[in-house]
This record gives sequence, structure tokens and C-alpha cells, in this order.
Amino acid sequence: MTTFTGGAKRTATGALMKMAAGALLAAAIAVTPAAAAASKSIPYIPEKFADMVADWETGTWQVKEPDGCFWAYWGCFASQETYNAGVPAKFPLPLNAEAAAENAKVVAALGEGKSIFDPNSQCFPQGLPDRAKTNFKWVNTTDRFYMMINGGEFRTIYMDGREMPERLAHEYTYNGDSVGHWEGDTLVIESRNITGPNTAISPNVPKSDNFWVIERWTPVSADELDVEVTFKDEDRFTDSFTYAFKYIRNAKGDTSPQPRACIMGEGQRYYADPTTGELKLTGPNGAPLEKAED
Amino acid sequence: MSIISFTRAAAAALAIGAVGLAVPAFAHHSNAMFDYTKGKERELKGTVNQFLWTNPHGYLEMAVTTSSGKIQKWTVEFQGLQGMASRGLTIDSFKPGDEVTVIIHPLRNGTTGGDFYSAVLSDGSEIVPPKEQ
Repeated sequence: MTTFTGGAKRTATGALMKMAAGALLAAAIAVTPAAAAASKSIPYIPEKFADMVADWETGTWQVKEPDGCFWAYWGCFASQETYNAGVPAKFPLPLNAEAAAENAKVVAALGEGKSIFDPNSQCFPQGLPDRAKTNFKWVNTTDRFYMMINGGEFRTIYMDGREMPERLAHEYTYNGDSVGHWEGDTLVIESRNITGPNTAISPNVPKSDNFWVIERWTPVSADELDVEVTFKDEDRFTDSFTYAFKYIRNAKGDTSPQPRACIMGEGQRYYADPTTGELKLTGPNGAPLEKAED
Repeated sequence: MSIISFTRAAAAALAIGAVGLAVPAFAHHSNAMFDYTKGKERELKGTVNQFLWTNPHGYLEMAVTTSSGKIQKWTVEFQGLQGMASRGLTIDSFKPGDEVTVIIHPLRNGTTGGDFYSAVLSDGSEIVPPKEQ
């Protein structure tokens, strides 16, 4: 498994499988979620964490990424310019041959001034794993956590001991299904069934529908969380990939009116050419632009 | 505060609405289609048809008269609401009928579109390029 934290890279073979096994084991036999489900009472929360959750009634959590990089999606780049130019990240995703070839094709097109893969230009929800690294407000209910995200999106993390549901591939979920449990003071969230044509990993690398996310949230203080996010994609990656960052609580962060949504044809004007896939800017109501004259 | 009272407070928070955030409201698309080469900016002088104050991008539609006398419709892309506001733009910056000058990074494919760079509004005020702010 590839892991980097602020540019430092380490290897931990099999850790993901251990996490997965832990998740399944905890869901099946752990006193906490199972008991909560049985009694229909509030879920167990480690005492240290529960004390902090009480303080999270107000404020929002904001991403703090490690220093030393220009961060875009899940990549560490030398600069904005190198990112725009399609220069690979310092710690690239462990793409398999097929995914690497597709990535190379997209990057080559960018070099020619063409964007041929960019679902974000078409107002699809971002979903996971993008939304595993986004500012949010924490909401705790009797059997689940909600992460309230901008744009009216939210994630639901079930803490009632339920098993991961099965879904059909065409049931677009974007954020997938998330089931959580506790390992000591660490909240471990497993998310699967992440389907839908969103960009997810990077603008240049489409994920598969067999994409798996494990998040580990460990409170450092009432205002700081250490977070590790691990991706596994058996159809795209040769190995798992872990990204570490922090969430810092902004105690003065508050709710606000919902911003205007992304609406195709209004706030987003890109049309994907059905033959080449090239995204083309259009005029009002999707009208094609004409050749510019002097 | 107990978990139960937290839950009630959280439910109230949920009812209030979405979260105010510091990060961009929406992921943006690739900008590969625009030419950011220094010196290749294009100046458009024309009349505002419409200004869309929208996420994830704002758009300005304007009519520009070419050297041959033809009127062409141009589309200028902006950042989203937060980005536009940070540049000093408001929903009233461009009103239909305004005569304005806009500098853009043009589309590489040579069609009538571009990415916003700077502008002189109808009242003479300027929206300066980002690096000069």
C-alpha cells in the first residue's frame, strides 16, 4: 500500500485488508454498533470522542493539507502550472497499464488544448472520494453521522452495525454507501458502491465502479482530526493508495444559505463532442460558438 | 452537553441548511481549452447582452462588431460566485446594454469564447487582472 504524508512516503503491505477485516469484524461482533442497533438507542461513541463531539455543535471542519505541494485532487504537484500542464504528481496513483494508458491519452489531449475527460464540467455530483476531503459540518443523530457539504450535498455514515448494502451498477450513488465503526478512538468509515460518472480521483483518471474508500479519523483535540483516506480500485490500481491530511475545526464556521446549484446550460456550458469526447464551450442554450473574426 | 442534547442541536443545525465553506463551491473543469500564453490575450469591445451570476461559473454574453462590420456573439467564462466576488465583481457589474471592454484568454480553437481576465465597466471602473490586485 502506498502512503504519503506531507511528501513522506511509506509502505504498509496488507494494511488495507486488515482495516477491511477489522471493519467487517467490528460490524458483526463489536459491542458498540450492534448493541446500538439492537436497542435502537444512540450509537456508542468512545468517551474521548464523545466529549469532543459535544463541542462540535457549532463550527465547521476545514481541510488542512500538508505543506510543500500544490495540492489538486489527491495529488502533490510542484505548482499550479505543472498541474495544468498534466505533469504527473510527485506520488502518482498506482495505475495499472490500462488506466495509465487512458491517463496518458487524456493528458496528451490536454497538451493539444483539448479536454476529453472531465465530468466536473457537466455538473455531475463530485461524490467520493473527492468528498472525503472537503469542508463540512458534523451532524450526529441516533444511529448515523451526517457530513453536511457545500452545494446541498451530504454524506451519511451509518453507525448502527448494518452490513454494506448491495447495489446495481446503474444505481448512481456518487457518495456510495458508508458504514462506520470505532477502533479505539479512531472512527473507521468504509465506503463502497461509489458509482456515477464523476471524476473522483483526478481530472485525468476515471475510476471504476469497483472503487473502495476507507477513512480513518482520529481526534487529536477538540479542534483537530488526523485523517487517512485509503483508495483501492482493483480495476484501475496495482495497489492501494493512502492520503493523509488534517481537519481543523473553525469554531466560528456557520451554516449559510445554500449556494446556487450547478445547472447545465446555465452555470456550465460545456458540450462533449459525441465522436471525440472533446469538451467544447457553447453559447446560451448550448448554441455552438462561431469562428472568431478580427 | 450530553449526546442526546447534541443530537437535538445537530438536528436544528441540519434544519438551518447547508454549510458555509471556504473551499470552492464546485470543482472546476480543465482549462486546457483556453490559451493562457502571455501576449495572446484578446480585447473585446462590445455591448452586454446578458451576465449570468451562477455557479460553478458565471458567463457574460456580449455582442462585438468585427472589423468587417459583422456582429458576433461572444461568451466569456468567469469563476463561480465566490471567485467573482473576490475579483470585485457583483451581479450588477454587467447590465444589458452596457458598453464594456473585456480582456480574455481566448479559446484555442478560435471560436468566440474565452476565459475572463480583466475589464473596464460602463462606468469606467476597472476589474484588474488577478496578479495586479
